[in-house]
Amino acid sequence: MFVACFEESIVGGRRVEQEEAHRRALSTLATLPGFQGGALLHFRGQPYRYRFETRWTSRDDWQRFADSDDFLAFRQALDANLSAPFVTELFDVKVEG
Amino acid sequence: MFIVQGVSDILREPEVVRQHEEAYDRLLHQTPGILWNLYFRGLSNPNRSIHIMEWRDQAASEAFGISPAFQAMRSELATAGGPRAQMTGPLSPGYWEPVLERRIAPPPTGHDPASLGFARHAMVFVRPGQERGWEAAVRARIDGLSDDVYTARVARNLGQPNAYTVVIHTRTEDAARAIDLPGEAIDHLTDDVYRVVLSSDWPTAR
Repeated sequence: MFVACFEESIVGGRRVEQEEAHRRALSTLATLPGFQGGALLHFRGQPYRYRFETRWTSRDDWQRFADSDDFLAFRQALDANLSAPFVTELFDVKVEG
Repeated sequence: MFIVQGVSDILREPEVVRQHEEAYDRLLHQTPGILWNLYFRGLSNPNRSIHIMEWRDQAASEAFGISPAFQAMRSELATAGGPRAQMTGPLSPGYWEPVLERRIAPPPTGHDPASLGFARHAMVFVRPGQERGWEAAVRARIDGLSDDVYTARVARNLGQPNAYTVVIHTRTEDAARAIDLPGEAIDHLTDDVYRVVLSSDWPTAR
């Protein structure tokens, strides 16, 4: 499994829009080959900080999405509610339980 | 109870800052669920501002955050001319839950900075695993505070359980400086003395 995370900081007051944008993004991602699932996490200690975690079967599956026009639309939709463009972090899964 | 705390460096003119604080406070007077609204101004750094809001619960705070009236104020501030305010330091703005409180006397309320006293404010990062020991040490210090103190409160960050904020309201600047916080088990600390410049409370809502 391969995990792509997006560190996000929203514009104040855009919490509802942020969550709706991720619901739509997950619906789109679910149609892509190799996408296993994802979750939007809100940091309990601060109002604006989120992490969007997406799981992929392989790095190649993620890369195919990252190189596609779908990714540009994904980025634009999510960035619309953010105070700065999201930061992408990629992880190889080493141990699973 | 649920606490929102923001530490900012504000580079606007002082009268513009004050107007914003007053307008924010007026808005809170029309908002359900708010218990206490506080602004502190740094003594060593007058640009440093701390805004603390105590809410009945997180839902009330978050409802205010997305309310049209607050959104309009936020938008107005974002498009105003001149230098901006910048949130500064870790966990700012942050969500906090009270873990310890001692009220010796009611702290003064109002909008006159000359009558509101002072505050010792610290953010403390305790070495993970030593939280209970640090809490016991700070509880002992707070239990020993004198009549120069109105109230003392310790709150823990909701997302980072080894992060605490300590707020102690005092009658005098000297009293605020004299408080001896426990230093054991601390990884990182910000600690300074502030003047309380605005304090509104809603005791009947508690």
